[in-house]
Amino acid sequence: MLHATDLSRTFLDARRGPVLAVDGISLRVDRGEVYALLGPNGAGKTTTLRMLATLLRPDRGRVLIDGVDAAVDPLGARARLAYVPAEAGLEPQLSALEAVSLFAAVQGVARPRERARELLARLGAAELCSAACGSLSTGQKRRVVLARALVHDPPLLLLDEPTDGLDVAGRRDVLALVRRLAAEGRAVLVSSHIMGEVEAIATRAGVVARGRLVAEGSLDELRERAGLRDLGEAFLRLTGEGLPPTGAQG
Amino acid sequence: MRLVGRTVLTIALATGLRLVREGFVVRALAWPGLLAAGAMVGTALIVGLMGSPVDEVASLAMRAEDAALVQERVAAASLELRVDPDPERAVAEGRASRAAWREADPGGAGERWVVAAPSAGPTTFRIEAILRDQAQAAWRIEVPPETARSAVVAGQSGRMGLIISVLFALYGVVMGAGLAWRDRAEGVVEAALTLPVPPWTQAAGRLVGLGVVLGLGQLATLQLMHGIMAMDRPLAIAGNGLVATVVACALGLSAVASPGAADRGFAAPLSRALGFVTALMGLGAGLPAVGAWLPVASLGALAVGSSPLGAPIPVTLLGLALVGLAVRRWGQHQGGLGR
Repeated sequence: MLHATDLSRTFLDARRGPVLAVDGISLRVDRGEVYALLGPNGAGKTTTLRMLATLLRPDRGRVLIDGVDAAVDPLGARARLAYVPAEAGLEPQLSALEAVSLFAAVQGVARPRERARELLARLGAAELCSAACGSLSTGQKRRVVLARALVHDPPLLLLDEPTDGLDVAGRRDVLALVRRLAAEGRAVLVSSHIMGEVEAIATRAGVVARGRLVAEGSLDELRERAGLRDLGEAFLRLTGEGLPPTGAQG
Repeated sequence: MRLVGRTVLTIALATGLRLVREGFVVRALAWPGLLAAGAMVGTALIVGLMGSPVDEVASLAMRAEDAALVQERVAAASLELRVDPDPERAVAEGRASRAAWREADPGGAGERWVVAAPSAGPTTFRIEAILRDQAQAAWRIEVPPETARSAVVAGQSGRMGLIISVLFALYGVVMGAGLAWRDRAEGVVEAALTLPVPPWTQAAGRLVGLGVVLGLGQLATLQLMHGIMAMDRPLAIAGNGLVATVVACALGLSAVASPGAADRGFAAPLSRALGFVTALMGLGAGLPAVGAWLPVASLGALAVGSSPLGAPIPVTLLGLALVGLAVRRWGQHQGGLGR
């Protein structure tokens, strides 16, 4: 479903000059699979997601979504994906129903209001239909954003920190939803730095550090590679953050 | 093409809805109309309580024998002649606004004409001219006909209409920049740019929504003013004002949405766009022959002379196309979209 090869992106920083944010990342996510992109803050997860979502043009590399080359046919690629950014991105003056209907209408969905109502109900947010998005809690907003992402029934979902800012119940619900969406045959790519969540939903994971994919495989393979049973510790070792500071040993 | 049209229309509708629901926009649109209506009510109250400060029909008191000498000329000057044995007292007691009589010339033999008037002005000068003609004086005064009151009011309300159009153009810059900034900061743009439609449709939809809301507000305000006090050149003011508002919205949007603008914050791009708009108005006022053909500048040209209706439209369409090309890269730049 998603096949990215050798993605690279450099930003120009006014003080530091060119900064290589993503350096040759390749990954593949198949239908029915939840792939977790792990990495500390600033590792390049969001930049990678934005390149996969066609929001950023990679300096190098290629993204294929369901066989469509994102550089050649970005609109065709977008029609096959839904990107849920870390920020809700909801217009505060619109009601939840209007916000979801707006996307459904632009996506060319027949009877967009009915589709929006149906999705909000499916995500347990039917009572939010007439509520202004600006008045919703973080968890409620997350439900509305997910409903908005699903209006065109995309085969690929890109979720950037989907549980960020949620309480325990909200987090549990979103994780259950992600599992359900994958079980329905969608390919789901989730960026996260919370190991407990990753263990709960991911079938495979890639570890990103300083813009590079330093390890990839099933969660057991990652643990085995790091030589540790705890995924959190394995993550720290793989990203190099678990090493003692230079000079501490001597 | 159908997809693009549907997208622009949908985003325009959503933008209009959002702007109307934001109390700020409604209040901003209501203020010019409220100010104009308040000024009219205040004027009506003052006139009602104190009476008109201007005599509608000037009256001239004269003795019967003097009146007989100038009767025709007085009538020709649209003055009301009031025969009174004591004209000077008639003015003092308010029976006439002015008076004229003959008296002995203390400096020599014969008589002289005397005019009693509360103030100098066209009516007094007209009476003086009549009496100089009667006395066959060596020189006379000629008072041109007064400008019609309606023309004076139309000129003044036309200036107010221009000021309102300038205000709406400035609103356009601020609202365009504010909309782009909020949508970027709240992640609305980032989510919308993953839709399978060309990115420029996001900017176009917002521009149409802004233009319709502000344009309707502007037309309603100008129509209100024109209904109360007939405006001079209403079509030219409304036409040039609408073009200026739409272009100002586009400038505000593109100032914040253009590549790299995210790194410069909100105030710097906004003040640059406001400075550009006011400079265009200044150009129009300073060089009306050129300014009449440019959007926004045509308001300046209109303030100092004239601007043919529709003259700035070709340049406006070209400018909007160029802005469209600039915002095509919306979001495809380093650190854009509020990050």
